[in-house]
Amino acid sequence: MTLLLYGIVHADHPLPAGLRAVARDDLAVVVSDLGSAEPTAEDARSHLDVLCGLITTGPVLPLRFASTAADDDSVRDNALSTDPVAVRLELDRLTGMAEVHVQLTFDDTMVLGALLDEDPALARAVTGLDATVERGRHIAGRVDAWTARQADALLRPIADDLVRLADRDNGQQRWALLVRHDELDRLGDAIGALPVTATAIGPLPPYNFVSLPAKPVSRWGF
Amino acid sequence: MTTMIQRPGGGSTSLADVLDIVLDKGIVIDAFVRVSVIGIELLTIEARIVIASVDTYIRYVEAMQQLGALPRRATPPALTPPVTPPVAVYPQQTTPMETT
Repeated sequence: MTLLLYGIVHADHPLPAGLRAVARDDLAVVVSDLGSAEPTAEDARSHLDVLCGLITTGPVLPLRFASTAADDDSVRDNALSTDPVAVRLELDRLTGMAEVHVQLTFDDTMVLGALLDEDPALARAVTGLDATVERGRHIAGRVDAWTARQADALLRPIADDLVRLADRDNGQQRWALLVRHDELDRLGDAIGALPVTATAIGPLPPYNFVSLPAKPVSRWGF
Repeated sequence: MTTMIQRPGGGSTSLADVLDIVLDKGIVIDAFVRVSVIGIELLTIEARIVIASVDTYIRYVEAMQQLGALPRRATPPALTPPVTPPVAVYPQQTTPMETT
């Protein structure tokens, strides 16, 4: 029976119905039996729902969506035996923590005005499509750098850790914040008080703050 | 839970947002097979982004030249920092109870 994998937890992590833990010592991987042959995009939603449920009762190291294993032994051997020390350290580090995604929308006119103050040459006339696109590309780069600096300055004081996420094509800055679970209300207030348009989604599994060594450096590595 | 932070669960989040959160994220363990996910057309999305970029570039140039034609204001607007105290740095901070 193929298993669909969700995340690594402490072995005593409470689980809802439909999920079970494949445990080794004090660690476990949360799994379910894979029903259909291949997951669909909609299954990503239930995958996220499972992880969001799990993080309310303890730390979870999320595994890549649509990871599967042949059986329990494969799960134990590959997820729990390779480097249990690193897994425990990550679980400890992320205990009580949650990820929140924040999207910031800066007012174009305000940003361009600030850039123009820095560099009046940006408004110089250009002729021809190529030159216009090149100038536009340059301005877009400046806009991105300026808004990223502003976003970092606004968000860093209200998070334990933060990382910028890939843009969509809508001109918004997207950041992942790592915060304490019991500080979520306060974070909400802080986001509401930001001087730019901001939306936030969370608490999420700590996707952007979890890291495990891919494999032991060598047989002889310490 | 504050209303400023939207909860991700219960179908209130768009599928695009869900995929954004989930896809290509999370720990990869080599021995585990990662099966393909049906219904995600990434190529279409990438093509759309390229077209949108050129459109944005031209819009930026036009907007910049309009701004450049305006008389410059004396002081540029600055983003004021939030008045809310830092969230994570002072977890024990209590709300002031001053009355006037």
